[in-house]
Amino acid sequence: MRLRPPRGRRLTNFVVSGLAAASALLGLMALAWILSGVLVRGVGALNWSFSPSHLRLRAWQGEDWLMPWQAP
Amino acid sequence: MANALAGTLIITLLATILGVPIGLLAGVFLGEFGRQSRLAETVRFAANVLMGVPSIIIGVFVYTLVVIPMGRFSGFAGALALAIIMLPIVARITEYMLSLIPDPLREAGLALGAPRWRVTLAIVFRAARSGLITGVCLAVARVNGETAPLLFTALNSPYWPGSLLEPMPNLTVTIFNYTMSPYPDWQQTAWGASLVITLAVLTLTVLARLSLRERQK
Repeated sequence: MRLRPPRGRRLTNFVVSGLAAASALLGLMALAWILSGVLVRGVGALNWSFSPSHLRLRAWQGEDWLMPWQAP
Repeated sequence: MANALAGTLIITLLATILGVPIGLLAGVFLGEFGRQSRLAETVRFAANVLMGVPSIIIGVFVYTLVVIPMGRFSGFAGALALAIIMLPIVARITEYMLSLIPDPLREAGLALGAPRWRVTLAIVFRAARSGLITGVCLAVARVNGETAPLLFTALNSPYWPGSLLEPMPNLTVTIFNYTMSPYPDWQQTAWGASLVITLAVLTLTVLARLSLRERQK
């Protein structure tokens, strides 16, 4: 097996480790993007009202059973 | 959404009760008793295949096996589908965690005259405890976000969960229904439910990591 020159090996090592780090960062960015998106859009809908009365009312009105294609 | 949250908790809890003990025992068989036997190899292969089966197929399977004979969707059927998904995960993680326990520990127990089952339960399980908890946490986190099997089994309900033998509200199917609705407040609710599930999965994953860190200390 022919040995490659040290400079070439160092360059290959640099490129591979750079690509690996960039891929890892890309994965982290995707995770952060998803988490922040869900957080920003979802946090407004959360509350501590666990009263079932409004749910029962909506169910009684039949709203929750409507599928999108059945919506008025 | 509170009813869906309660339903999800009930379904997940029941799935854990159904799936974890069988998964643990299967893992014990693979890691302690069967090891390289032909039966263990077959079980290992089946577990690997089951882990790769799309969850919707498991949903259809439970639909055929439970929902059609019962004549109704039910929370129990949903929990059963999730338990089947958990089973191979728990079994393989248990086997792996048991394989990390050194054999001299088992030999010491056996040398003291303890029977094999006692060595497994009192020594090996105790040594692998944090790893097993990690496996259970990961399996619960995995099934927490499943939608497809619940569409075929638990369906959904606008009411608070009353009986396990009736359709049961759950977060994932609620997200599915509400996201496709044309009403902005329903879509907002779906995002809220998504956030709750994301936080639950994140919490379970962090708990699993903390448990493993405790083991490494």
